[in-house]
Amino acid sequence: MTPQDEAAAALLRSNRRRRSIRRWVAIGTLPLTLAALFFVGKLLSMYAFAHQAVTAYVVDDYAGSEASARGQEFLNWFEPYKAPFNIGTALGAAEKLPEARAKLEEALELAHGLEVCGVRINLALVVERMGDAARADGDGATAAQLYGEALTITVETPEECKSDEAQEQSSDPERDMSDSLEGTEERLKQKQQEQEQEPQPQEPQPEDEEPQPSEDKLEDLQDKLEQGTQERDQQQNDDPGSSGTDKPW
Amino acid sequence: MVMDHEKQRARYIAGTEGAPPVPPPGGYRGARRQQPPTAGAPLPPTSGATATLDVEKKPANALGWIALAASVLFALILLGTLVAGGTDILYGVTMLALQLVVVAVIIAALFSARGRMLGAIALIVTILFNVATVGGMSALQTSASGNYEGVKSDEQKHEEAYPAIKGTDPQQTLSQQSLEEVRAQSDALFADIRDRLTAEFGFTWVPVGDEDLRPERNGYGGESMLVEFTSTGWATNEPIQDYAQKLDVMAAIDDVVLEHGLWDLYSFNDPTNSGIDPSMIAKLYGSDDPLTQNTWEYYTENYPDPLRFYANIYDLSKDSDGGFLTARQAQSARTGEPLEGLQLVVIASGVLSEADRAEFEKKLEEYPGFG
Repeated sequence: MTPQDEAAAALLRSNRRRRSIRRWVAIGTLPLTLAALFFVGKLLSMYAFAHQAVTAYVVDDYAGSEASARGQEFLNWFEPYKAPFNIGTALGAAEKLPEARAKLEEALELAHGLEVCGVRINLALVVERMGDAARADGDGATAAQLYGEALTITVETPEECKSDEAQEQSSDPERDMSDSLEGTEERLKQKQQEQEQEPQPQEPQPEDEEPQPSEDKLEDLQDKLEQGTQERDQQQNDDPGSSGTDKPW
Repeated sequence: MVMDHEKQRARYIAGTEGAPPVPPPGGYRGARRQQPPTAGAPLPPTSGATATLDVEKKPANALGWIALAASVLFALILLGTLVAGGTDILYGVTMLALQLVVVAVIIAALFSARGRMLGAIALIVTILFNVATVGGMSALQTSASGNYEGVKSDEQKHEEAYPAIKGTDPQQTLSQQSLEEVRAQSDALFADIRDRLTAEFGFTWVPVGDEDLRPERNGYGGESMLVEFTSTGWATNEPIQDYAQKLDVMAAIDDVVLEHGLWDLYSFNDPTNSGIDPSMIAKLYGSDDPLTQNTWEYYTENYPDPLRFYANIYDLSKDSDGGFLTARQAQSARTGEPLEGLQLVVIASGVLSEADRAEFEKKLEEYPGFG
C-alpha cells in the first residue's frame, strides 16, 4: 500500500468517525430538539387560538370562539386561567349560562393577582343573567338566590381591581373596570330589592276588614312600588333578550 | 566563465562529504515531477487542518433558487401584513396554504443535491419568519391595541351602528326624560334637599366629583347614542353619627323626593326591609344592624323615567377595625370628598341628549323591527 493509499484510507476512516459522531449527536439531541420545537409550537399556538377566539367573538361567532378557546386547553401550562375564561365567556354570550358559569369558576380558581378582576366581572354577569332567566321563568326564589350569589362575587372582588394597573390589563379596555364593578353592584342590589318586593300570593281577606287609616299612605307607596316592579317585569318578560345586563367581554 | 563553473561546482559539493548533491533551484531540467493529486483523490491529512474532499463546485439548481426566493418573498409578505395590522389575514387559510407550498418547495430543494445549500438557507428564513411566528407577533400587536375588528358582514356592521339598546324599546327612550331633563331635575332635587337639611340640621355642603357621561353599548357590538349620566354628588361637611338623626335625615329626604315625583325611599342596609341577604348586608355595610353599620344606603327612582337617586351616610364612629377608615381615605384621596357624612348622587342609564334626538330618530328609520 502506497503512502497515498494509506492517507486516503485514513481520511475515509476519519470521515466515517465524524459521520458517526454527528449521527449520535443528532440522535442524542433529538428529544431535546423535538421538545424545543413542541414548546415553541405550543407558545405560538396560544397566540393563534387566543386571537381566533377573540376575533370570532367580535363577529358574534360564539361557537367558533368557543372552539378556538378550547384549542388553548391542550397542555394548558401558561396563563392557565385564560382558556376556561375564554370558553366561559363564549358560552355566556351563547346563553349557555350554567356551562359558562362552570368554566368561569374554573378560571377563577386558576387566576392570580389582577387576573381575577375580569374573571369576577364576567362570572358575576353570567350569574346575574341566570337570575334574570329564573325570574323570567317565574322562579323568584331562585332568581333572588342567584342575584345574591352574583352580588357576593362582585363585592368580594379585590379593591386592586379598581386601580389603573388593573384597567391596563382589562380585556375590555373601552370600559372602566371600576365603573363596571360599581354598576353591577348597584344593579344587583336593586334586582334583589325588587325580587323581595314582588307581590306574593295573598290569603283571601274578609270583605269587611278595612285597612287602618294610618296605613293608607304606606299602602299607596307600596302599591306604586309594586306597580313599578310589575311593569318592569312585564317589559322583561315580553322580551327575554332584555336582561339589563352589561356585556363587558 | 571559468569562475562561474567553479562557483556552481562549489555550491554542489561544499561541506557535504560525499552526500548526493541537492537538486538545483527549480529542479533538474526535464525531471519527472510529482503530479498533483487528481480531482477526487484524497489529500493526506495534515496536523492542525481538517481533511476534506475536494469536490468540484457545481452551481445550485433552479429548485434551490426557487426555494430561497419563495421563502424570502413569503417572509416579506408576512412582515408587510404584520406592519399593516392584518392578523386575521396572517392566520387565514390563504396564508396557511401559501406557507405549506413554501415548505414543500424547501423540502424538495433539500432532497436535491445541487439545491441543498439554498434549500437550507430558505429553511432558516422560513423557521424565523412563518405564519406562526409573524402571526404571533401580529396577535400581540393587535392585543396591545385592542383593535379586534374581525371580518364582519355588512349586516353585522349595520347592526353595530344601531343607535339604541338591544332589548329596550327605542320609543320608550324617546318618551322618557332626556339627559337635559334628568340633569335639571337632579339639580332641582339636590337644591331642595340641601335647603331642607340645612334648615333642619344646619348642614353645610360641598360638591363631590364631576358630572360623568358614560357611553352605553347597543348590544350588537357597537356603541349606542345613549349615555349613562352620573351627576356631581353633594356631601355634608358635618358627620352624622346619631342613629335618630340618621333616621330624621332620611325621612326629610324622603319628603323632598316624593315632592319631586320619585317613589318612596327604601333602605338597602336595613334587614327589615332590604331584599339583600343579611350576611351580604353585613359585608356591604359593616353590620346587619343599622345601629352599628358604618354605611347607610337609601335609594329611590322615578320609574318609568330613568333617574335613580342615592343617599348614603358614612359613619366612621362605627368602624370596628379601621378597614372602613382606610377605604374612605382612599376614596377621599380620589375624589376629595369628606371622609364621613351624608352624600347624594343621581344616576340615569340609557338617556338621550336632546341635541341627538333628531339624529337618533333618523337613524332608527334604518332599523325597522329592531329593539
